[in-house]
Amino acid sequence: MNIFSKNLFKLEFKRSFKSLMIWSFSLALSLLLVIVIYPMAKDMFEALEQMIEYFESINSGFVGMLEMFGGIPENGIEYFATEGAMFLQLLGGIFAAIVGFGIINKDEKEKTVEVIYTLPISREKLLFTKMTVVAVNLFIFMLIQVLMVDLGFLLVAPGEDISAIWMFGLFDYFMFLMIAYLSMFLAIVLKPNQSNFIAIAIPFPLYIITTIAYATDNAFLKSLKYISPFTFAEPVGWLKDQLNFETINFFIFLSLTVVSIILSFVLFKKRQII
Amino acid sequence: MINVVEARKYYGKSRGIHNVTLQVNEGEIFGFVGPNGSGKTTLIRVLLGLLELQGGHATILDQEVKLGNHKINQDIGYMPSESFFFNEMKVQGVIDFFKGIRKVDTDYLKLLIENLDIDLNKKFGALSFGNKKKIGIVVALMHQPKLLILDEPTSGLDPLIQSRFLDLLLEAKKKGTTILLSSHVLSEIEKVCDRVALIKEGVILFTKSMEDIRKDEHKRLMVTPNYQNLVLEGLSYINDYNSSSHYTYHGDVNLLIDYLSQYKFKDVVLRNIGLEELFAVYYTKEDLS
Repeated sequence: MNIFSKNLFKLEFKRSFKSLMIWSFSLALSLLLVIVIYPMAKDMFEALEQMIEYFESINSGFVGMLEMFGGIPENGIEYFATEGAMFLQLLGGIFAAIVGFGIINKDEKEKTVEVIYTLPISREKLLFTKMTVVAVNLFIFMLIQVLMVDLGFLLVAPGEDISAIWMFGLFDYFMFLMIAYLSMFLAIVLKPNQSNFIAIAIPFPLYIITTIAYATDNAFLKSLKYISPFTFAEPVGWLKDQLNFETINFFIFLSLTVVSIILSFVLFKKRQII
Repeated sequence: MINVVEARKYYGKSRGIHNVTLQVNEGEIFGFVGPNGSGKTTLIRVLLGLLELQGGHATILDQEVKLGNHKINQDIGYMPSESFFFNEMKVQGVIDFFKGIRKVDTDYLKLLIENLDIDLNKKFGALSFGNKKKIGIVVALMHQPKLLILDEPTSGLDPLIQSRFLDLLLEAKKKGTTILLSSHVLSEIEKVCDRVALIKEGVILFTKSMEDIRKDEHKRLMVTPNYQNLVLEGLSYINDYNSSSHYTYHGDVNLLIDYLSQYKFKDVVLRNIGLEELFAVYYTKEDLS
């Protein structure tokens, strides 16, 4: 069964290309900037360590709180985990949500839906092709981020082992895909002509949930990490503390994404135009 | 080619179409006329599988009309009432996209582009309303489909392009294309259509051949000074306006002339009622049964 349209893929990719480039390079250049200032930050962290030794000597709670947010980085990768990777995840998650939501919503908002739905292409093929465009867009987005981070380390800390960054990039890519497909599902469930900003309702609260879950000792709040995809690719855990991969969380979100993809196909076939 | 039986579609409490029954025969140009909001676009969208029927049934090219059914689209050329394509792309890119999806005869495509005077290098989003409609015409006609469904195709086009477009439709008809043409411009319906249906508030008021409409033609009589007491079979008084009395007449013209010759009027005007005026009568009538 042929469920991919090359022509539609080319069209959708062209339509999304400008936005992809703007988002990719603005975020990637910001990450580069964060890494380029690492040598200066390193000096600052050394000074901070003396201060922390003092806080430890007086048993201050400040040390524990600092640890919850990543602590003092000991190398470039750890610095990236605490300073750059977190906002890569948040902004990347927002971009993924907008890409996923927008690829359904754009045709309805720009009223091109009438000519798209009257093509000799099945709804299944339309949706699958759009999903492929989303996957390729996010892959390019993530590739640009990782390459720019690598370039940054090559410039200021050539000795750093950057293999973990590639692995982190891969997990982030899976996470962005999940967010994008959940957003596509949201766009299909909602009535046409909604604002793309609605899509932010998916990554933003989930990101906050992860932050809270990692910054607390409360058992209930800690368990909230399982309802956010940001958990299995949590940068401090993955890049700094070398924690085990959150397999349960990954499969929860993988299952949720698969269910939402199946429902998207069912509902998209019944979608009427207004 | 198109068969609709008691089709119903409502938008909440408001009526889209109600018990619409019509048939479009193979090879004819069928005019679909009605005021704004009368249900023309709703019926077209139902036929194209863009909206779901709530009652009745419809077939198109011998296939049951169903929401999301794409199989018939290869044989249909559709032009919506407003042309919305991809604003960020050049016209050439828009046409190439549709050309890549459908089987298109390149020579015919060139002919369409030349006839409609289309600039391929402009961005679609920068085009005027009329020029956007021209792209809609090319996209609908380019693959020479068996069935053309055109929703208000000439609104916004200049008279020269309108005339060229109608010629293209007549040529397509000669090649066997069936055309469903929804329009407000009754002169173009009169020029190209074989049959016409009038829809009002979601209900089909009548379906007639153009030949029958012409045979059935009423005339308008105006006599000056005003005189309301003319009595003849087929002659009906309408009103007085500007010191003249207005009547409609349906019957033998010679009988009317003989009858009027016994009066001494300052002025007598007898003229045909055009399709536009005839339909205006239907638009305003409350009960047409």
